[in-house]
Formats: sequence, C-alpha cells, structure tokens
Amino acid sequence: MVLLFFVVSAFYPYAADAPAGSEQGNCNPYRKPVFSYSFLYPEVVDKKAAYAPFFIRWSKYYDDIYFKKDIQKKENIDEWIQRFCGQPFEEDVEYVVYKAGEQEIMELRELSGLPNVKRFFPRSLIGNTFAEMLVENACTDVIDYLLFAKRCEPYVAHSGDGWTVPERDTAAMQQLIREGLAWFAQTESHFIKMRYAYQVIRLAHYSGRWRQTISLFNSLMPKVDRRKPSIIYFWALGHLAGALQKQGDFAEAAYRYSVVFRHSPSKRIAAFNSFRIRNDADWEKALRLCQNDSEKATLLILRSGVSQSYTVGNLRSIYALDPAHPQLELLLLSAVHDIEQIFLRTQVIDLKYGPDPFDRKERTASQQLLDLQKFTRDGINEGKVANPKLWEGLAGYLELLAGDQYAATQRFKRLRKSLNRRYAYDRELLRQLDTWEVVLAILALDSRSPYLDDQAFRVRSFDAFNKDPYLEPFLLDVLADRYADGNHPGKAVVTAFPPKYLGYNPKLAELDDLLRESQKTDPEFLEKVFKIDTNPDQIRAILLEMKGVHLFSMGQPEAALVTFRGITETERARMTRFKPFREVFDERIHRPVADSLLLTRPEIVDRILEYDLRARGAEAVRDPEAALYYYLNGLAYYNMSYFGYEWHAMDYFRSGGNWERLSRGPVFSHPGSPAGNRENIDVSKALFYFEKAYETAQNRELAARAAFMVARCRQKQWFTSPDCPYRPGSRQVPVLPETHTGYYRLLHKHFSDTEFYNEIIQECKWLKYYR
Amino acid sequence: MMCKYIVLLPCLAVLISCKKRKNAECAFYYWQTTLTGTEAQAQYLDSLYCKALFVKVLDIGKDEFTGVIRPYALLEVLDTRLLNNREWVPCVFITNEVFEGISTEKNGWLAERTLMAVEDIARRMPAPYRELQIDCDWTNGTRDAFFLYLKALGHRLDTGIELSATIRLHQYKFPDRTGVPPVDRGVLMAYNTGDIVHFERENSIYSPQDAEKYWHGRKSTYPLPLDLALPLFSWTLLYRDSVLHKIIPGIPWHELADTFRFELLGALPDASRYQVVHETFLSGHYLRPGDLLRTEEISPELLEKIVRQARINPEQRVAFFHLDTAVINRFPPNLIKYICAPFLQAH
Repeated sequence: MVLLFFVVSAFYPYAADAPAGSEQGNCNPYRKPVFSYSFLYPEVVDKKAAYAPFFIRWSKYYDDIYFKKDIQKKENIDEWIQRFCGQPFEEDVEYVVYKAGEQEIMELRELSGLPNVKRFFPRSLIGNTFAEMLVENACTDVIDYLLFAKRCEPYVAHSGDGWTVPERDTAAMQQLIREGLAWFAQTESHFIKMRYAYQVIRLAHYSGRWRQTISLFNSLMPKVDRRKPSIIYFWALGHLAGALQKQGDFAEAAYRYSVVFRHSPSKRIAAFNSFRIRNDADWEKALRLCQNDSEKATLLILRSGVSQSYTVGNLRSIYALDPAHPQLELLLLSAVHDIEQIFLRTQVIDLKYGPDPFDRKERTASQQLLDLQKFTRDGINEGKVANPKLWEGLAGYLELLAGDQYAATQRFKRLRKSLNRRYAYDRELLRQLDTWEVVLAILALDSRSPYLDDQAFRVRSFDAFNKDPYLEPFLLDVLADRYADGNHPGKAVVTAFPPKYLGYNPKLAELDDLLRESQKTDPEFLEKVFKIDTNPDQIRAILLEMKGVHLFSMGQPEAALVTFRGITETERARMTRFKPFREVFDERIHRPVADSLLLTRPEIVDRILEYDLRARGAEAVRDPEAALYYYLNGLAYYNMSYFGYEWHAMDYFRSGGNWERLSRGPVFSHPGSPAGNRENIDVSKALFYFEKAYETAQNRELAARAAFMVARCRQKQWFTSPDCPYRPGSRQVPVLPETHTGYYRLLHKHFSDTEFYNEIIQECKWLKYYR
Repeated sequence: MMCKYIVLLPCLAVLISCKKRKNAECAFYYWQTTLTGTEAQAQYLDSLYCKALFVKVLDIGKDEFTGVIRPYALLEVLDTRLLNNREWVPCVFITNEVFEGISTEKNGWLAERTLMAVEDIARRMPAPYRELQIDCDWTNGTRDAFFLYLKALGHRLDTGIELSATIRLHQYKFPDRTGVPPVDRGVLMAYNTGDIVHFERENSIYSPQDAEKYWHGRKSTYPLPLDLALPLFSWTLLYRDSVLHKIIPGIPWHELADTFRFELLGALPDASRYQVVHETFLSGHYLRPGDLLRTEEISPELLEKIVRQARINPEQRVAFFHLDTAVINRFPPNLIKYICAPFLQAH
C-alpha cells in the first residue's frame, strides 16, 4: 500500500509550505546570526519528543536524529508488524508495502490460501516473512487493500522532487474514490477500513475537492472502530485540516492541526508549517473546539512555537492548563536558551562581532530572567511538573546566569545528590550538570586574584571541560574579560585574539603588560600565545621589537633605541633587515629596491640618530654635508611611512585599501581587529628633514631634490587631511589647495634648469599640472 | 490630493522632463502565490498601457529545519486574464543563504531545477516568455556562487530568452566592489533604502536622505542596460524585544484603529508606530503585549520624491512593485502617469 504512504509530508499538494525565507510575511531577512554561547544539551529533554526541534534549534543534533529519518515510513511499518503480532521482519514489510509492484502482489493474491505454494512466489518475495504470512493466512482483504493502494499511489505521490506541480487526473481519482468506498463498505477489518478511508480522503484532497474531503472524513471516520489507536487516523486528520483551511475555516483547521501535531511525529512538520490563525476570532473558536485543557495547552504551545514567542506569560498560561504537559518543558528550555544567549554573550564577542545593537540585556532580558526564575521556582514548589529534576537543574542554571553563584552551587549540589547513575536519563542530566558546574567555575574566576592563571588551569583540569568544545573558547573570553578588569590589557588582548592583533594598532600599555609577563621565570602564558617553547629571550625580543617599532613610528627614535637595546645579541642577529635610505620617486609600494645597505630596525634607528647628530653639527659650522644627512633621514622616514616601499620597517600591517580613505585615518577599521589598524601615514618627520635639507642645501641639485620631496610630503599631508575630498585611488591628477602646492611651484620656478628637474619632469608626467 | 497633482503636473513635467528621456514602458510586478487576476486589475493595467507583467513564479530557499535547498510558493495559475495582450516575465526569488557554501555541482543542479520549475509553470501560461528574471540580494560572500548560477542559467536558456537580474542601489553605486551580474539586463530597485532594523527610524522602504547617498556620486553608466523598479507597496514591521521579528505585508489599518489592542505611539506621513497593548492576532501573526509595530507605505508625495531623485534613464521599462488591490485604490492610473511622466512614454 504505501508507495502510497510514501506521500511526503505536506498535507496539501499544491500550496507549498510557508517559505522559510521568501515571503515577506514569513521571514525576517534582516535577522542576524546570534553570536553567543549555549551550554544546554538536547538530551535533557525526551529524545522521543519529536516536536522538540520546533522549539529548540539544535539544528545539527536534530538533523541527525530526526530530520534525516523517514519517520512516516517507520511508523507505518511498525503498525503493520504490530498488526501481525510482531512476526514479520521489518525489511520484509517494507518490501511488500513500499517496493513490490502490482504484479507481484497480484501473484500473491492468486496463491492466497493455497497450501505449500512458497515455491511459486515471485522470485523477489521468496523468503519474505510478511508475504508468507499474507498467503498462508489467506489475508485477501490485506492483499486487496495493498493492490488498491498501489493503484492510488501514482495519483497522489509527488512527482519529481517538488520543483514542479503535478497534473492531477481528477476523473481517474474520482473513480478510485468510488472503488475505495465500495471496498470500505465490504471490508470487515477496522484496521483495513481505516486505510481505505485514508486513501479516499487523500484522493479527494489531492483532487482539490475540499468539500468532498471534509464530507468523506465526517462520514467514514465514525464508522471505523478507533479503540485501537492508529497513526493513519492522524494522517487523514491532516488532510481534513488542509481542506478545512482551504474552505476558509481556519479555526477548526488550526485545532485539527494541533491534534495532529501532538500525536503524529511524521506529520508534525507539516502540521507545524500549516498551523495558521488569522485573527482573534479564529483563536477563540479554536480554543472552544478543544476537548480538554491538555488540547488547549497544545494550541498554546503551537502558538508559541509558530510565533517564536516563549514568554513567561505564555508558559504560565500553558502551565495553568496542564502543568505536566510534555511539551511545556521544551518551551521552558527554549526560553532558557534565549536567555542564556544574551547572558553568556561576552565582551570579547561584542568586540569581535560588534555589540548587541539592541542592548537586550539592559532593555528587556533582565526582567525576563527574573520572571523565568520565579516561574521555575513556582513550578518546583507546587510539585506538579512532569520532570522536576529538569526544572531543578534549569532553576540552578538561571541562577548561574543571574550571577547568583552561591544559590546555583547549592541547587546543583542538591540535584546531584538526587540523581542516580543507574538511570539513563539521570546520566544525561549529570552530564549537563557537570558542564554547568564548569561554566560556574569559569564565571567565578576572580580578576583581583593573583592566582587567576592557576584558577584557569584548575578549570581546564575538570573532566567535563574537555567534553564540550565550546568551554575552551568561553573560558578564553571570560579570562580576557578578567585580565582586562585586573589591569592586564596585554594578556587580555592575546587571550582574546591571535598575537598578530598586537601589530594592527599597538598600544604601549598592552606591550608593557606582556613585557612584564615575559620577565617571569617561567613565562608559560606567553609561550602558549606565541607558540614558542623554552626560549624566553625570543618572546621578549618579539615584544621589545614591537614596542620599539611603535615608539619609532610615533616619532620617538631615542625611546625606540633604548627599547631595542633590551634585545639580546643572539636575537638581534635573527631580525629582519631593511634598506630605507634609497631615493625612489614613483609611488609604487611593492617593488624591488637594490641597496647594499641592509639594516635591522635597531640599526636604522641608530643610523637616523647618527645622521641627525652629524647634520646638526655640520649645519652649525655651515658644512654642506648637513643637507645630505638631513635629506637621507627624510628619505628614510618617507620610505618607511605608509607611502614608502619600506613601510614594514615601521609598521606590522599595512592595508592597501586604506589608500582610498586616507582622510579618515590614521586608525582605520579593519576586519578582525576591533581596535582597527593604525597606518603610519604621518610624514611630518620626513617633511621636517626635507625642509631642513632644502634650507641648508648649498648645491642646487640637492635643493631641487629636497624641494620635490617636501612637495610630495605636503601632497600626502593633504591626502590625509580630513578636509580632502580627493580619493587617492582616482586616476585623475589631484587638485591641491594653494597651501600645499608651494614647493611644486618653487621647483618649476627656480629649479627648471637642474638635471634633477629634467629627469623628474619626464618620470612624473603629472608634475606639469602643479605649476 | 488629486487636485494638487493636477496643479503640480505641468510644473513637474517641465522641471523633470528636460533631464530624463520619456521612453520607458509601464510594467508591474505580480508577487502573489496564486495568479488570479480580476477584471479591475486588468483594466488598471490597460489604462496604464502596461506592456509587461513580472510574475513571481517561485521562491527558492533553504529548508529551515533540514537546510535542503527547495522551492517554495510555486505559482498556482488560476486565471491568466492579466496576461492578455501583454508580455509576462517569470521572476524567481532566491534567498542569499542558498548560495552560502554551495558547490559548483549543486549550483548547476539548482540552475536546472529552476528552469524545470519555470518551464512547468510556463506551460500553464497563454504565451511563452522572452525574459527570465532572478531576484537575489547577493553579498560579497555569495557573489561568485550567484554569478556562477546565473551563467549556468544563461547557458541553459533557449536562444532568444533574455536573462535579467534585480540590482540593489548599493550594487548600482559600487559595481566595482559588488560586481556586475552576468546577465543581459538589470532592473534597478529604487527602494529598501532605509533602516529596517531599528524601530525608531523612519520609512525604510524609501528614505530620500538615505537614498541620496546612493544616487550621489554614482558612476555615470552602469555596465548593463537597466530598467527601473519603483515601490508602491506597504508593509508592517513587527519588533519584539527591540529586535525586528517579522515583516507583515500590507497595513491592516482597520485593525490598528482598535485602541483596545493597539496604542498609537506616533504618526508620520509615511510611517506610523504602534505598541501592542493586549495579545492578539494580526494578519495571521500572533502579537504579544509590548510588541512594537511600524507601518510603512509609499505615499504619492514620496513617490514623487523618488521619481525626482532617481537619476537614471530606464532602458526599456519602469516596473512598479507590486500589483494589488490596495495599490489600485491608492494610486489611480492618472496619478501614476502624472508622477512618473518623466519616465513613461506618453500615449
């Protein structure tokens, strides 16, 4: 019969279910993913409660245990096996019901009731326990039904994979309905009657005959003895609900769907998706249709689930109707899940993904948390809930989230005492409790304690810590918060972010904090951060070089030099070398530059200071060398700036994209770096040295070079000015204000007879525009 | 209201027509899940000399529970009178998440399935289609996959059928950054400019201030021939716990007038705000006390501003989003003709 039962999940064949993300009314395309932590385990609720995924979004978990299984098929096969006293094998029933063709079943019909005919079975059915039972027991009513069902199947099965709308042969379907009704009338077995009823109701529904569907349901179902429960009834009920909805009776349809939702796991998705209440009148009517408080509670639960409205008010309404309702704890869990995502959101998450734009913790969640705590306590105290252990655990978890660590600890202790490892469910709850206690220990980390690292070490030693992969990142986030509170900004940063973050926008306080850490006899913390073992000198050298580079880029070469001197000779030998003193006039950054003078950063600083001293001395005695030394220092500073080919000597990270937004610097937003990326766009040092070179030059060629470089620096200063409307990425020659073009004009006016001028005017075609 | 526009008409026409070519034809989007045109709708389209109807034939999204890519809301064709004497263009809306992490093979599969679904619906239409439009708000992360999908579709389409795509304003302004879809033509959606996320903000369907950022400083030409889509729709935004929770199509004014359930917090010409006082159902959505609602609509005045602001010469069509009874009542044909005179061909 059930190719026929192979009907997938929708009750109504044409109207696709409400789209998850397409129709405006049913989605929120602007919903952003939630970045937070969750330490609730699905196993603490009833695994067999297949409605759980509608309330709790542990998608991966339910993908595996729920959605990837064909529950409908399983339900049906189980019912057939039960009907035959558990005798036939599951795979045999599956073959006969779902796979065998009409011809094979016809052959069984012919052999039915005859003795010793197994050897005449169709080849595919030889050894099939279910087929044997049908023939031996002469179950012709079952075989006739299976034949009828297989004839119905092509008319009701989804053709393709849902991407096309099948054409229905309604005339043939009506003929089958007539035949089905005749079979229904003459069949005595109520098990089979129910199935004929289902077939004809389904055929009517798929024909688009809504009234006929309703009428068939109402006339046939009362004639079937339902003392023995059957899942087929709920399948038929789903079709009735679909037809009622099409007829505009949304209230009764909603009520019927809620019944299907509660009792039929395989039709639960369809019932959930099809549940629709248009207005308050529908709602009131649907409530009136409920036979008891438990059904009303299911309606309330569906309303909450469909609208994702897990308020304490809703929970209390359901609790008032049916405190032991099996789905109430799912809603409670969902409400706790919503709350934990807000309260376990760490400062590091805010830094990485931006703060919660709605500030829910302050605005609404605190009150929700209090309300939820009161609700769980009331539920426990009144003693009417179905699973008091779970409620006790959730109450403790809410206390943990509320920051009441003492109360949470005490409640967890009490709960632990009441659990028994011999019971499977208690073991799941103990596992959950283990994790919550680790979370509790993490949140109890004390930023004022000098033993904070030891406390974290202890947390990591818990067995449960290594069983949940999200505890380590959560611990790191909390540790980072605690370090920041405890005046350890450097440790906070490298705990929350990879060490390269230090180079984006270095801060002296962070580097000094880490340098203090590096002076410990066993700097284990930094060894882990930098993944360097047993070489404290190397870690210290990395940090000192970072600090020196930062000081150097901030215009403090003397301080940088003192810092660099803290690096051991061995580590100095490993340092990268640069060649910043070359004269390069075009604007390309990534380029090969040949120079025999290769210097480490300390050597560059050393040399700049030496040139500065020489220049000053020479200037004092009017020695022409003064201009040369000033010029060389100007070159070095320019080349090591954001605009020079040797930028890496003075910075750890440069983004070419910032070239288009220079006026918004020097700190630019950068993905992965909440503090942004500082670019070394300040050319004032270079400008100073070039101006000095120009002033002291006694050689017209050098003066021309210095004038050109001063003009370049002034141009870059304009680009970085907040008033600059020009985007340096443009192909157009930038228009410079009068205040920034003086040296270009000076170059044209006074140095046009120099060799340098004639070379540079050829190389820089744009120069002629700045006359 | 009408009088005002009749008086304004000559001034508007003089002011604007000198800048914009009046060569576009009128078109409409049909964004329902069932094609059931009424006589009134057909007459409305006729009186606007509407030459094309963009009909949404299906949505494609990922199943909320299983993550499987699947079609939603396949168009049910019940009455095709709206297509009499006018071209129809099937439109497919695809959610951006479909292209997140999609493999090349799956992309090809998706293109095949899309065409299969479109062809299946086209069989029920009175005339073949000559253009297929894809609507997807792609992002940098999904751009490559989406463009690959468009190429795959293009290869599979019969000769003579054009492929078009919707273009958002930011994509229009920054083609270098966002990329240009590999299609024959585009439709620039001159709406959804404002802030939909925050309750306190103004009309998100079209905010002249926000839109100006897109119109100002754009490149003089877009690499594709572009038509223009203008908004006529309205919606109600539902905010829960300070977060945008749902978008409800249309504005149920008669229900919102019920002060027992809704408290009016503030009314602006195009956007009003309400707070839910008692739990209730509104247009099929359950609302609870404390929920906030913001209604947004396009008034004739706002449409006029959009037309004035839209610095584009539509290549072929000006398409209005979208055809429904509320729009017909709110925007009589003459009003649309007057306001959109700078774009539309005179008849």
